[in-house]
Formats: sequence, C-alpha cells, structure tokens
Amino acid sequence: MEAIIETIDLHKTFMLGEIPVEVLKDINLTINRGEFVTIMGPSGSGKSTLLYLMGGLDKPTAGKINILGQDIAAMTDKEQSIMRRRDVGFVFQFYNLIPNLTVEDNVLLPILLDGKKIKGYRKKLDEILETVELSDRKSHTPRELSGGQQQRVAIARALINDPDILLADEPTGNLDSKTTEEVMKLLQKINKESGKTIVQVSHSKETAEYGDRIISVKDGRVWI
Amino acid sequence: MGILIKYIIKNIFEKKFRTFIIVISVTLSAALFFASSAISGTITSMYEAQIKMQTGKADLLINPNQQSPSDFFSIQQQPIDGVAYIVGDVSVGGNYMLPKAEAQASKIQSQRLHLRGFDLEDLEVLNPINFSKYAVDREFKGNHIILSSVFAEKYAFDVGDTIDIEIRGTNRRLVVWGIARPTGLFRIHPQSDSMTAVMPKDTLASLYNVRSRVNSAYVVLEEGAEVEKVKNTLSSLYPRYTVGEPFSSEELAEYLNVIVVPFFLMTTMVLFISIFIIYSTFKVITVERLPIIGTFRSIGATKRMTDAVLIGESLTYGVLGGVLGNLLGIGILYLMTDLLASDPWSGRMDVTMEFGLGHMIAAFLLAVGVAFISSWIPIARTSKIPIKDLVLNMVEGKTRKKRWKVYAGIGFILFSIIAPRISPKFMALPASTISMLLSTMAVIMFVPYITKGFLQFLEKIYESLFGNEGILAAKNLNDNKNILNNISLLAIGISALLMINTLSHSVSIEVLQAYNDWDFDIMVSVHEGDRNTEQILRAVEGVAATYGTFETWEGVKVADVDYRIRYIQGIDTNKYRDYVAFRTEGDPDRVLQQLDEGRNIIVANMAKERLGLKVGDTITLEMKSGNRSYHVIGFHDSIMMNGSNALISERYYKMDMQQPYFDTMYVKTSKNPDDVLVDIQTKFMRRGMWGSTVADMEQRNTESNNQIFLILKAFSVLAMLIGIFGVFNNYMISFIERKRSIAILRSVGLSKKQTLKMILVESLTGGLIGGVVGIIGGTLMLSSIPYVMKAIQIPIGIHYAKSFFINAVIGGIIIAVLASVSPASKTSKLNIIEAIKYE
Repeated sequence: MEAIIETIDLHKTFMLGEIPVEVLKDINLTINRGEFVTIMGPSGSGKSTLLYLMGGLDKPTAGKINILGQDIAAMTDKEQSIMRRRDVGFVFQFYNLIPNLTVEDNVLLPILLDGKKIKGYRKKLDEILETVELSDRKSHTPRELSGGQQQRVAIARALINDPDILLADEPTGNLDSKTTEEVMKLLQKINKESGKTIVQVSHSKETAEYGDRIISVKDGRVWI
Repeated sequence: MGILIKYIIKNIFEKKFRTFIIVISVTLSAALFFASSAISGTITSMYEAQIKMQTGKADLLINPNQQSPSDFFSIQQQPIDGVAYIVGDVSVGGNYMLPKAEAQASKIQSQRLHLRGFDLEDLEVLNPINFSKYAVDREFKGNHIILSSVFAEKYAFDVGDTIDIEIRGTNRRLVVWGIARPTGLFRIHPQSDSMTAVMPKDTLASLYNVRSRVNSAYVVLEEGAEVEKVKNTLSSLYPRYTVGEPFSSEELAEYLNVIVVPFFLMTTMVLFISIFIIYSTFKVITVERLPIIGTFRSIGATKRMTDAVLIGESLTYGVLGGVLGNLLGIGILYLMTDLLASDPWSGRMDVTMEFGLGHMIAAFLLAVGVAFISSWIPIARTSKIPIKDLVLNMVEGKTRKKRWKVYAGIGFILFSIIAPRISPKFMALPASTISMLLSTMAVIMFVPYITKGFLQFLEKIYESLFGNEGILAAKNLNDNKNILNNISLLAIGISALLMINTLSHSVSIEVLQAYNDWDFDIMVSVHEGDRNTEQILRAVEGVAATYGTFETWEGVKVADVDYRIRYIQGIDTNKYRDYVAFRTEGDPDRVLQQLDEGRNIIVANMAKERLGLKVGDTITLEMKSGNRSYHVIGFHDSIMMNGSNALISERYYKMDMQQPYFDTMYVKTSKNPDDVLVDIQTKFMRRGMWGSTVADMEQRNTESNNQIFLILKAFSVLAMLIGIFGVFNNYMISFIERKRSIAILRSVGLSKKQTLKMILVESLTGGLIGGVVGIIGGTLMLSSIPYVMKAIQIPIGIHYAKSFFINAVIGGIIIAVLASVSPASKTSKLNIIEAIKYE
C-alpha cells in the first residue's frame, strides 16, 4: 500500500493569551492511497487542527507532514497553494462557496486559480455536476440552493482538478439526516469509483461508518 | 480571469451605496485635482487671449516708460534679425459729445473713445478687423474713422455718416468709413466707460504733431526666432523704452498663486477625506470578505491572488472615479473659469478652458492612486491572516493599544505649530500646507481619546438628561469603530468648512478695514492734474476737501534685491493723516515729521519682513531719476497692495520720480459721493479723467474676493458632502454589525421606543463630539493659515466668528441625527429571533 499522507512526530501548540496549549502531541499516523478515513473525537480534541495541518492550512509547531511524499511544512506559501489546487480538495461544514458566483463558476474556481483554460474543463464540469446531481443548477447561485445542494457544489469544486486527496471538515455537520445520507453516499461513491483518498472529520458514528477506518483523537493524541 | 473579474464586478454592484460612496469620493478628488491643476493654464490662456485681442500676432511690444524722453518714438527702419515686421500705432483719447436730449436723459455729456491710429494694411497682418460694414470703394485715410458696431448701434451711425469727435480739445468732423464687430481691438469691456475707434495713423499723428512717430510698436517675429535674443537686440536699439512680451507670465503667475494655492489646499482636504472614507470602507470590505478569502486560499489561491482580487476591486473604483472625475472636472473647471472670468475690475473675459491630456492623465492617475493607497493597508492586513483563521472565520478585531499613534499625533501637532513659524521663506508654503494636513491627521488620531474623555463626562449628565438609555448610549459609543469613524469624518468636513468660512470672513473684515483706513469718499485721477486742477475740483458742488497725491501703483524696484515695493506715495505730511489712517509704533506725528527731513522712508510691516529691515537701515530704490538711497525711519501697519508699500516725503518723491503732476486726488464730500462724482466727471470730461467712489471700489474688491471664496466654499461643501455620505454609510454598517447585540438587548426587555431613544442619543453624541473635534481641527488648521497667506504674499489676520463655531456643532449634530434615522427605524423593526441567529 502507498502512504499518501504521513505525519511524523507532529506537534501543534496554540497560545491562549499568554498560556501555551498543546493541541496535538506527537502524532504519527499514515493514511494510504484510496482509503476513506474518519477522524473522530470530542470538541476541542484537535481533530480539525489535524485535518487543516494535513491540508497545509495550518503550520505544525514541530514534526513533519508528508503529502504524496513531500513535507508540506517545508513548502513555501506558493508551493502549498499549488498543492491545494492540484493534489488536495477541501470540503467544509459551512460549504464555503462564493455566494455571488454561480454553481458553475464556483466549481471552476480551482481551474482558474491554476491558470488553466476553462474551455478544456467544460466536459469535466458536466460530468462532475452529473455525479453530484446538480446539472440543472449550473447557473444558480449558492443562495438559491439548499444546504445539501451547496455541499454537493463544494464536493464538485473539490473534485474538478482531479486531486488525489479529499479533506472534509464535518461535511454533514450542517445537514439534516436525509441530506447527510445523500452526501455520505456521494463521498463513498467517489472513494470507491475514482479511488480518491478521503479524510473526513466527524462527530457522528453514522457518517464514520461510510469510511474504511476511524482515527480517534483525544487530548491531542491519536488512538487508532 | 473571467470569473474573477465577474466576482469583482458582482461585489461592486452588490453594495450599491458603498460603491457610490467610494466612487464619488474618488471622482470628486480627481475632479477637484483636475480643475485645480488646469485652472492656472486656463486663466493664463484667458488673459493671453484678452491681451491678444489688443496686440494681435505681436510677439514683442515696444512702449515708452518713465525714463523715455517722449511718449512718442520713431520705428527704426533697418532690418533686424528674427523680426518679420514692426507695426506702430498712435493711441489717444477722444470724446463724442452726445446730442443734447440724449445727454440730458443719460446725465452724461460725452462718450469717451480710445482712438487707435493704425494703417489698415498693418492691421490686416497684425490684428485684422472683423468688419460688419465698410466703404468698399474708398481708401481708409484722412478724416475716416472705424466705429464699433456697439457704438454705431447705440448712437445710430452708419457707413458714410459724419461724426463730431473732440480730439485734443478741438472738435473734428469725421466720416464713418467702417463698422467693426466687437472682437479684437473693438472688444467691449463692460466696466470701462471708453470704447475703441480706429483712425488712420497719419491723421492722428498729424493732429498731435508726431508725424512718422508712434506711441506703441508691435513686433512680429519670424518663425523660429528666439524671443529673448530679439528682445535684447531691440532693447539696445530702443534703450530708453520698454521692450517686452505682450503678456507677462511672471506677473500673472504671482496673481495665479493667490488663486491656485487655496484651491490646491482645499483639494488636498477633499483628498484627505476621500482617503479616509475609502480606507474605512475597505476595512469593512475586507472583514466581510474574510470567509471568502479563506475559501479562495483553501482551494489553492495564493496570497498574491487574493490580494489581487481586492486590489482589482479598488483599482476598478479608481478607474471609474478617474474617468468620471475627468468629466466632472471639466464641468467644475468651466464653472470656476466662468466665475473667475467675470472680474469686477477688468470686465468679463471670454471663457475658454485650457487643459490637455496631461491634466487628464494626472487626474486619472491620482484617482487610481488614491483608491489603491487607501485600500492597501486593510488589504495588506488581511493578507497576513492565517488561512485557518480565515476559513473558520476566527478573526477577531484585536483592539491593540497603538501607543505610537499618540506619539505620532503629538509630534504632528508640535510640527504643525512650530514648522510654519520657523521655516525659511522658500519653504513657508509647503511647510504650512503640510502643517495643516498633519494637524488634521493628529486630530483624527486623537479622536478615540477625545471621545473617551467626552463620554466619561457625558455619561454622568446623560443619566439625568436621558435616563438609563442615555447611559446605555454612552456605553455603546465607547470603542465603537464606526462611530469613531463618523466623528473623524464630521471633524474633517467641519474643519474644512470652518477654515474656509473663517478665512472668507477674515478677508471681508480685512478688506473692510483697508477701506476704513481711507477717510475720503472719492478717488479721482485727472490728466496733468496740479494745484489749479485741485482748485477747480474744490469748486465742484459737494466737494468738501481734497488732497492731491503723488504715488505710483506700478511700484519701485529695490536695487540689488529681487523685490519690488508695489506702491509708494510721496505724502504731504500735514494732510496725509486727515485722509488715510496711519498706524505706527511710537508717536505717529513725530515719525511723519521726520519724513520731510530728508530722503527718509516709512515701510509697511509686510515689506519690512520681506526685506529684513530695521530702523536706521538704508534701502536703494530704482527711481525715475536713477538709484536713490532712503533712510528707514519707521514702519507702519498697512495692507495696501497686500502690505507691499512705503511712504516718502512728497518733496523727494517729486524730485526722484520726476513727477510734476498729481497721480490721484482724494476727495471728501459733503453730499452723496455718487452725485458728486457725476459732477466731477462732467467738469473734467474734456481733460480725460478717471474717478470712482471709495464705496464702489470696496464693493468691487469684495465682489472680486467673493468669487474666489465662492469656489473655495463650494470645494469645502463638497468635502463636507463626501463626509456626510461617509457618515450615512458608517451608520448603516454600524446597524448591520450591531443587529445581534441590539436584538439581545431587545430580548431582555428593551422596548422599541427605548431602542430609538438610545440610537438617537448615540447619534446626537457622535454629532456633538464630531462638531467639537471639527472646531479643534479647524482652529489648528487656521493657525497655519496666516503663514500660508504670508507665503503667497497676502498677509491677513484671522478673525473668528462665534456663529461659525456654534453652527459647526449644530451642523454636526443635525448630520449625525439625520444619518441615524434610517438605521434607527430599521432597528426598531428588527426581528429579534432572526437577528440573534444571525452569524
């Protein structure tokens, strides 16, 4: 099995006023290509911090994070940005869509940021929108969509550049149970059919069951 | 980049009022900058056009001066390098005696004519006449005359008619050869009582016994000839005559300084407000966009990319404001030119605007620059926020105590107080201007502290005045950034208004004081006026007393120094104080007596400062009889010719200026000065005279000042207007930001009425503090003004009007209360549950 994400002696400390708080302590874990992993843990356990460190949204206090064999902590801002465009797709709890751009524009944003011509991605856009069942909502703005639909747009956006890894921070945290099921099935389908590695953070055992493996984080430590 | 552009455009159009405020701020800044920078060229070209009407294609003029042996001279015939041709004219005065009935009706016995003697062929090449009619079959010579169409229509003359004109005291019967449209030489000056007519040069020359001589020569140069070189050649050929360009750009530059500097000062104020508004608006924009910026970053946008989106937005405002600013600037320039074109002293000029691509590009770049610079700090700050904080919207407004601001503020105030007072003359203008801006910046930096101080005090009295809602309002205002921004905006706007109004008020008072210094009613100038003329003048009914003066309004240059005393009077020490106020240190009679004791001089305080004089010094003046040294015996307080004046004894004036005749006569009247002036004019009509009542001169002076101040006031109103828009916007932002906290207050029992009361007390307090801070800022700015005015050689004292200060505070309160009406009404209609849920 190929290790796609690897953390080595990872530490993260925050300052709460003058007091240092160690959120993650000595994390060593490996996620293999094609896995669907769920990080679980109580509030404040450090699970989201771990996810953000994996995506290069945050910098570790100590230790290494290898993504596709490269230490992202040693990368420059530009290199990290390129990695987020091409190798990692993010899905957030509150969807984080650009409210005044259409579904189509939102999905195509990573292409645009990568300096590629949108023309060559029209077909792919249609395919992805079909996968997330939003072909008929292409020219709508996020304000005109339901929560589940918005999250599916976010998933489509995360997939447009065909990344190897999909990182999802409580992707269903803001959805009702029926929509949660739809979104989780979609993620599962993406994992199974296109072999994407998915790492999600979740509170819910039900959503964790859609994945292959659960990583528990408690008091800043990982319990596999 | 299509999507990003679409995103920027959508952002711009989504918040229409905000976009409007930014664009209007940039537009006005660019427009006023455009108008201020183009006005100088426009006025120059208008004056040039005005002068060209008289001098046509002439590149140089030769005229007699004080040192010339005669007012007439011969044009030398030898060819001169670079000169294409020289045309001369004989210019004299004449009178058309009105028919009796008309004279009785208009109370004027004659119409003065400025007779210009030209060869028609010469005029054809120099300054062609635009004829409406002329005698095609007859040569222009002998007793022919060309009248202006205005004159011809007024007195019903046609080509071929005869007309009687009095020239040199003798009646001459002339034949109307042509009628000219009122352009070029024949242009009408509404303020002048004289009209132009053209006669054959030889005819006029023979009437004055100056055959083949002229009293002005117009030199047209060959193409590519060097003006300076030809000027030097001609100066050596006509050594005792003045060779100069028809248009002295140096003199005009000095005059323009007076107009342009205040315009630029006001433009800077508007610019300052715009920068402040754009800066504070962009702070809101960046805070609003943080989650979106986070999203962009999370999907791979670099800092540079997200910065580019925000900068793109600010540049779009800049470009839009730049284009609109140029258009509006042309309109403002036209209005300014139109106002300045109607000079009460010299009549109305034709309005022609002079601006080029350079002005437009400069205004455009300023607009883009203002938008970019003002938005850069908030954008750069956003750029530093970690992505995770952006994504999770964990950015909290950190209220770091910025101690450096206090130190900088103190430094700015100290600079603005000290710099104008100690800076050398050549630095006086920039130092004073920078001081004004720094004092405004300092006031803004102190706004949070001043507000805090006020609130501590107001909280105590608000309890008894407005009850608990008053206390709540005072607490809400503490550290409320939007309210602090509002106070700053009001303060800058009010400062600018207060400064201009006080300045305008001060100038009016100074003008009034200047004319109050004159204790006579009419000023008259009669050709070759002497003691006999004075006797005749005294015989006019209503003339109570007269004082003949020897004075020069052209001024006298101080030898070896680049300074010209612009007005010198040789005074009759026995009479002077009966006609003009004389203020000096020590005993005025004693100082005046000393004048007669030798070549002594009393210098006005402003000129004293410029020349660095003290009692006992000697200054050498370039007078008509040559250089003469005068002993400084004292100084006097006078703003005649903006303080560039001096007094010497009449005896030495007559001697050194070789002047036997009075320049003017001051007349005291025992009845209505206007009626007395009409009688004086009638009496001296044939001798050629000029006269004006002091009241009329004062009115014209006031009108002339009012035109400039009207424009400056309009500038300051515009500054205030942008400020008001900013205040309205800030109240709306404040409402949006406070929705939740107000909803919480409502949920624990604050009634709608109490909410309204609380918000109105808040706005009233904001307005009150804004007004007071505006007064502090305005007063600080005004403290630099005397130095700015001194630098542009208009020394004036600042006179404060109590009403302006009261109006500033009331105005601040009204604006703030009005701006809070809409947010207050929205707040009272707030859906508590929705607002509490709002994140």
